[in-house]
Amino acid sequence: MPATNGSEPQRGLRPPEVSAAPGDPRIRNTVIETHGLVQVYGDQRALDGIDLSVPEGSIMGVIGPSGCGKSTLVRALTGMERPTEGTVTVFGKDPAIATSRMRSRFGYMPQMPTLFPNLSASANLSFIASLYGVPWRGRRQRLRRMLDLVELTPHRRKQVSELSGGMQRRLTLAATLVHEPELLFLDEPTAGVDPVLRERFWTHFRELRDEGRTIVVPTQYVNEAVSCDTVAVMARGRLIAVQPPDRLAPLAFGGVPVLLRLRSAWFGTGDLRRLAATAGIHSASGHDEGLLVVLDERNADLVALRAAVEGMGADVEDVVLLEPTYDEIFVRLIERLAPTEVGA
Amino acid sequence: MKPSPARLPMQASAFVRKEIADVVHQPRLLLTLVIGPFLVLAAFGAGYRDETRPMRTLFVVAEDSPVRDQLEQYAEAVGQFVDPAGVTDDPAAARRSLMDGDVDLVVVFPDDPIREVMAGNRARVTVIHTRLDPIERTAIFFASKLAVDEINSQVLAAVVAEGQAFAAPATDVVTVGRSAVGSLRDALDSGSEAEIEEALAVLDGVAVDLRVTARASAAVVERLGSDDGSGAPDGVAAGVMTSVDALSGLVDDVRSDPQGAGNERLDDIDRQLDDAATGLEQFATVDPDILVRPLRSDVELAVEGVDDVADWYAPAAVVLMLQQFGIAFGSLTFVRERQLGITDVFRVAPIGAPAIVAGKFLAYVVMGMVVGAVLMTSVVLVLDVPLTGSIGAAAAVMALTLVASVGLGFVISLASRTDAQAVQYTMIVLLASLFFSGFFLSSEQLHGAAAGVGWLLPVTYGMRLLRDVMLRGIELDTGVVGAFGAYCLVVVVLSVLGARRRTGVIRKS
Repeated sequence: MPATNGSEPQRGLRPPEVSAAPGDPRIRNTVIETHGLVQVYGDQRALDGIDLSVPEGSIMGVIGPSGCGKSTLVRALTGMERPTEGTVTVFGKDPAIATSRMRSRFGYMPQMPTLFPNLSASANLSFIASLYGVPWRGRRQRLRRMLDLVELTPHRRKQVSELSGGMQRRLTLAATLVHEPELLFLDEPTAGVDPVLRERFWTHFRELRDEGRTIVVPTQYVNEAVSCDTVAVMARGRLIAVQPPDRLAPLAFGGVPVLLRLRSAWFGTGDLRRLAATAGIHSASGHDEGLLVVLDERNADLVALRAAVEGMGADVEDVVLLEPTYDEIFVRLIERLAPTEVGA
Repeated sequence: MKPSPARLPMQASAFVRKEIADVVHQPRLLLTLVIGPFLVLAAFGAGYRDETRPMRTLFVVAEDSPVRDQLEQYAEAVGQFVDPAGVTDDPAAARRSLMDGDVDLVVVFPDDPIREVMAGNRARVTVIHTRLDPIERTAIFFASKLAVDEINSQVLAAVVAEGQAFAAPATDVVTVGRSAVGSLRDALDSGSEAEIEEALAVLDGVAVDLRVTARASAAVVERLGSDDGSGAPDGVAAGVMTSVDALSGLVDDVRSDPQGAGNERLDDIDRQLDDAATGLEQFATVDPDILVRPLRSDVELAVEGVDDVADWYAPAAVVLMLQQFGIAFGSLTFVRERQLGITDVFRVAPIGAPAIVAGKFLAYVVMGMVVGAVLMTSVVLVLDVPLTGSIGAAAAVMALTLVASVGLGFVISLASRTDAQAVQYTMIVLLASLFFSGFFLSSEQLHGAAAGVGWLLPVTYGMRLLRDVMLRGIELDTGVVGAFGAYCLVVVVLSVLGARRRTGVIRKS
């Protein structure tokens, strides 16, 4: 089981499960760093002691239920809102007092389409380009590329009010990318976007990452976590886990989940309790298809597990490593690390 | 990507293009906010007539009242105000007709005005109406006062005419006097004392008759109000009295020393008789109507070319429409961006409030100047309103009006949470402009804080200056221009501070 780094959690939340960043050679410096970040609105703590570090050239996904503080975190990181407590540094400086030069390195895509409805798609794009000082020379080609990327070139002369919600979302993304920012804050960029285009977006995000750009992506699509380098899971304003996506399942299940399909369902509560007490087994529970056993990561021996179960009189059909969906992982994570959130 | 070194002008010009495109793509909004009020004003101007519609008037006069004969005169005197709707002797029925809306006015004459006058009281003519509009009430008050003054003047003219009739026989008296002077001349030549005394007695009588006539004339003149307070009649009557006094003196001189009275003294008597005759003739031949209304009023406008109601209202209407253009669009711009969520993009982007405000100001002032040019051209060419001053001065006034109005709109926008709220504030400004700027009612009638409210509105400054330029053709009042400039500066600073607050870092606790 991964080590925790804190004392007893507050309000039923465990401290975040943090693992070291992957040893990717592209990852160089820390671009974003927060310490004890707290944001209070009235009597509500929207952010509650966030410690986060985002390395350069990586994609940090921020996952959590609606209202958990994802957008508030982004607003603090972009310098839009000064936190009540704690510190934020972006490119080594406080973003709330960022200079224009520093802001030029940011790209921000809000959660809702932020476009002028009476202007054409290309006029909106050109407006944002001007805000960021994109030079006139080569601008036309640049805008064209952005429109191509989001597949809006045929609609470039249409007023935004004539575009569908998905098109507006795509145009907003193009506007965010138009000045080639080094650090991107994309607040739920794929909301309302069809799966095909969503995949294309993520492909582009990964390309941007490969160019050395850093991306922070709050999202409600949990399965998008697989495209991130690191995933920060939030609940009720707190970070409950910061892990690479492949570490989320073990964290959610407390080990390696294994499914044993049985020819006969003989297991009772006592049997499960006895199995869970076996060395190397973290837990055992019933499953729609048989028996779900979580093995200790450091001792995930499937042969020994089968033998143990058969030794208890069960007729095992097969033993497979369970590959849960990210939705399942997320639900498990919340249940396990922020149990009060489930009730809420 | 390395940002362009010309980022600031690039950002400001982006706002200029964006705002212009935003307005151009909302023709209905443009129509509602700019052309709508213009059409309303044009319809008002086309339909308004600076004439008083005669009021249907019912007269209440007792059957046996001597005033019945005067009714026609009364109605004629107030003809432009009154459309006679009949005569009745039943005040209650007349009041019912008034309340039922069958007539607009009821004029009640006294039952016995002569008795009132003889008792030393003024006879009362009562005008009853149902009009609540203060302007109409004032008009009715003045019309009824004018009507009564007119009747009074007619009475006076009749009195004067009688005085003149009294003076007319005096010319016969003068003839008798001249004849007596001839007899006196003969008697002095012959040395007949009896004939001398007889001629002098006739002249004494002539002097008495002339004095009575002169005093009667003087009394009329005094009644007309030309008495200077000393009791001595002046003008024609005073001249006659002086001649008569001189005549009596000469007659006494001849009586006391008949032998010493030469032709020279008799010529003096003749001359005094002539003077008295001339004076009395003058009095008798003057139109009694002129005597009772000796003064008339001629009003002359020192400014040429301004002769229509539209001339007065047109510059004010142009300024008011420019103000509404600026405020209406200015008040929506920030609040709409806020509602669209674009303000958050500005917070993150490398743009400051001055660039945003400068771009928006430039856009709306440029568009407003185009609108202003169209309005001015229409007003001058279509409505034929004079543009006496320079076009440059008129353009400067319009530019100041637009800067002040757009700035005020920005302040409203930055203080509003929703576009509906901004529109409500805009309507309040429009309402205040109609009452406090001097558009309809003279601002000089406002006192205290109410007078100050007008100076919070761009239209107050712009209206004064544009009327000076267009109608009077005078130099711009530097005091008003200075105050207007200060106003513009204040709203610009407030706009930048407000925009900085809107696009800056949010601090919440």
